Amino acid sequence: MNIIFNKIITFFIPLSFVIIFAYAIDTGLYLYLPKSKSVKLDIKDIAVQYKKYNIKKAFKEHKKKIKIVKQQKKSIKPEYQLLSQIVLKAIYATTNSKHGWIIISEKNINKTYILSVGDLFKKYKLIDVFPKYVLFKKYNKISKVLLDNTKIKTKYTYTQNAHIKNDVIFQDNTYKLRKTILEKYIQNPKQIWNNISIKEIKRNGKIDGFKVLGLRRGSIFDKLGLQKGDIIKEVNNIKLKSYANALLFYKKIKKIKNIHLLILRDNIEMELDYEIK
Amino acid sequence: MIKLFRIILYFIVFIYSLIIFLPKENLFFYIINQLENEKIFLNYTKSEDKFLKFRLDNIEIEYDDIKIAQISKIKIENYFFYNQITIKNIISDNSLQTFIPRTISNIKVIYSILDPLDINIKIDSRLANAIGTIDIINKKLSLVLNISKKFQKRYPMIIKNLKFKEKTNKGGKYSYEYNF
Repeated sequence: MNIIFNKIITFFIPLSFVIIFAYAIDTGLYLYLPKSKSVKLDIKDIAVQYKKYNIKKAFKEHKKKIKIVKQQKKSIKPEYQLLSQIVLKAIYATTNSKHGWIIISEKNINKTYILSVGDLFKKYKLIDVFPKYVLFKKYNKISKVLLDNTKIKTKYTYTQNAHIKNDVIFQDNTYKLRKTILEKYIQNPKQIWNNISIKEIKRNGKIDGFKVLGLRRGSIFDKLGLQKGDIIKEVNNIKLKSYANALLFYKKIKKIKNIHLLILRDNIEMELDYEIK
Repeated sequence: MIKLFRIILYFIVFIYSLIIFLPKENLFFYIINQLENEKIFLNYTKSEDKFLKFRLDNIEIEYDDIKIAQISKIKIENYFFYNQITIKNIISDNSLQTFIPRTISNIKVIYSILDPLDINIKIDSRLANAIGTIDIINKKLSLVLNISKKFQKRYPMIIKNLKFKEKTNKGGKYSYEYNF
């Protein structure tokens, strides 16, 4: 009887030690592991408008005074001196004023020059190209040259104007996209693929943007300024490195007030900006 | 011989004790917190910790504050020699149904000691089925998919990423490979 009891004891004592050892390891692991999952803050409105901090607004000063401040701000718009010796004959503008080129000539001289943003002409540096005027800089002084509308009417108009109807509006040097158009595509996403064909571009086996393989003429994507061969790299600072990123933007689109596209066209990075109205 | 048998027995008891006493929910909290660094958020209503099983009910997956999918059940079974993860009823968000399938009824991920270098995967859904493996050493996922004609029509974007193998009565056979 004693021998059997001893055998059982010699078998079970090491076994219980094994179990206790496993329990001790798991207890150590328990102490290391988090006791609860982190609480996620529920921020409902993600489209927060960024505004300059106004100390007067913070302390709720009179509304009338704030209105006056706003009016003053409007009147502060820079007024540039007009350059009369340069005649602006044509503009090729993009949605980004830092891209584009122009055709100019000196007053009373027939010879024309083609300039792109950053080029110099008689010590005047071309700094901005807008659809109806351009800005030159000389010795920190900015001057404006208006498009010579009297001679050129439709020949040298802004390229995108040809397509613009009511969906995309050009106003105050920015492109405004109708929200209803956007909602139409959100409700019926199949229309997206009827109008545009895109394919992911891979670099080192990983997605590095989406290439526009083709788009229907007159479609919203055409109006947005996209072209066949463009590689869309970023949308609203979301790098398109996976389908999840693309879906992320698609899901956010209802709350978005601005669209910022970073595209690669002919190996040159371009930015397209739109305001949703 | 008896000594060797004893050592094997102690080892098995040790492993099973380790699995039984493992703080499974806390381990899951750790995984959730790690996923949050990648902007993936998991919420669930109920968890159940049984000796060798761990179960989660009504899981909601969010990516960067955006609801992606809802899963009715995730079951993790750990038997040391045979381990299985079962994911049931994955329903993607309504707004994504034009890009990804709306429902996946069942995903099974199996790791068995009989095939130690591979993890087997089985996916079932109404419009497509897939069987595949994850090669642990080469870090490669290979899937063979049986896709219906309806799926082919509905999700051309997904089909573009697959390699066509052969035509079948119901649709087509495709393969997919991914190195990670």
